[in-house]
Amino acid sequence: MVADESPVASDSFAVVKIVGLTAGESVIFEVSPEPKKLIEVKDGIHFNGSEKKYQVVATIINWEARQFYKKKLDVPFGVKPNPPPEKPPVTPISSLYFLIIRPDGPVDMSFTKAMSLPAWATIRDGGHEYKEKTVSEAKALGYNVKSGTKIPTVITLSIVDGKSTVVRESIDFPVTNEKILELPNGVK
Amino acid sequence: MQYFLPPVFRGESAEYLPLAGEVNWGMEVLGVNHLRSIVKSKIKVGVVDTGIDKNHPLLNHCAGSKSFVPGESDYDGNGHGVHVSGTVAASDPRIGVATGFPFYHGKGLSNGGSGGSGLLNAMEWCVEQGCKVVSNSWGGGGQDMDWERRFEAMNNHPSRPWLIFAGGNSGPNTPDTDWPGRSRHLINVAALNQDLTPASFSSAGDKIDTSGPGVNIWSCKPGGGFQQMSGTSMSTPWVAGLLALYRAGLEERGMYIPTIYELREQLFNRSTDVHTPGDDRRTGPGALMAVILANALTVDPPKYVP
Repeated sequence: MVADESPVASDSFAVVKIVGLTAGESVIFEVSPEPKKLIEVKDGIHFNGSEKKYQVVATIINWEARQFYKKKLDVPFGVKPNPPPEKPPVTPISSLYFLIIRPDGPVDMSFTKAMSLPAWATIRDGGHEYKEKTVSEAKALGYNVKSGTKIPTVITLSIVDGKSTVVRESIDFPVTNEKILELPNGVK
Repeated sequence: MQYFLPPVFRGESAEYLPLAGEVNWGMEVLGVNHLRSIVKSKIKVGVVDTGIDKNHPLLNHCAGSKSFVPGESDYDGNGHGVHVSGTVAASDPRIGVATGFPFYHGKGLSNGGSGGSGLLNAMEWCVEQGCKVVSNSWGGGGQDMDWERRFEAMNNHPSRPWLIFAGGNSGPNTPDTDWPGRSRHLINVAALNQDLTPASFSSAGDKIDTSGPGVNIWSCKPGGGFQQMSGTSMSTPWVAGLLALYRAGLEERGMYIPTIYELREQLFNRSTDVHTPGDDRRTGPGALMAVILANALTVDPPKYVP
């Protein structure tokens, strides 16, 4: 004998089922407080009820064995379950931040021309972000270029919940549209 | 002390702009649309010069003007003030860098092109009107400590105005650029040719903060119509217009507004080399390209904690 204590509830009507009865058993339901519109008590309780908590007492009787027992359930009928706590928005890993690090001082014209290429807009349209900083500016933010790295260079970051993770170390700064569009590729 | 317009080289004039095509080469060469496309708001800008023509169809959004020249109205009887005002903020994107930005004009130079303390009063008036960028295409004379103190006081105004000045048109062999542009409290601007080489007339000096288009610049003319002029007087409103766009972008994103001293550092790192590499006596750190300023409007990544 298994009593399914999980009622099915909705705004419009509620059902309580006691299942797993062995042959010869029958069930008498009492609902307290009594709902205004009792619809059915055949294999469960079907009624229209206002949103409140009811106590359902199921009395299971086995006439042949002359046994009976009661099962009490506190059931919230028609009460909307509390929504699960909202998770903070999570930036998908596919959204990347390309930190471009270039030498301190005035910008080299070839760098300015590369930054003017239309592929950068495509990168942004794809949900990614990019920004160029000088070596000193990047260092002040905690991003250091390893010695021997050719600069300008690109460090790929994943920023989730305000925390930055380096997901790819330095790669060459792209100077063509094709190379810029390849930036998101190969990042795990 | 008397201050003057730098000698300005006046070119062609026209009643109407060409209907299509590039009017001012700098719009494309400096990539102004990189900034315009991402900056949606406008800030107040100021111009201190020879006056304004508020009936010019591209300047009728002038938010206010005042003459600080005794005996002269705010009307521009010279042409220089209308030209530089147009370059900063004219309502046609082919002329105005910060297109349609509300602007104030303080007339501090007479129709003859000279001025005294009225120039400083006009600058302070612009700052009091809420102008965040003030363009000044004038200079001359020697350093004046009282003026230095008043520049510093303007920099300390809560609105943190950026005061932009012309470096002067005395050519490549000058020992230094004009005062007050070379004051450490101001941003000093040199002029470039269309190929981004230094303009022949642009003064040389140790403190040039950035450079902008200064040769054959089309802008507005009093009474309507347009004319070309060349000089650091023209590159200054160009840079002022770019910085107005940049500042509007910073403000609309809630980003930090640098002081003028921090701005100088930014300009050093955000100008593009166009002459000898690094800082040089003709162009300073180089040309102020809009794409690099636009890039600076992207929010920084969080500080990295390994």
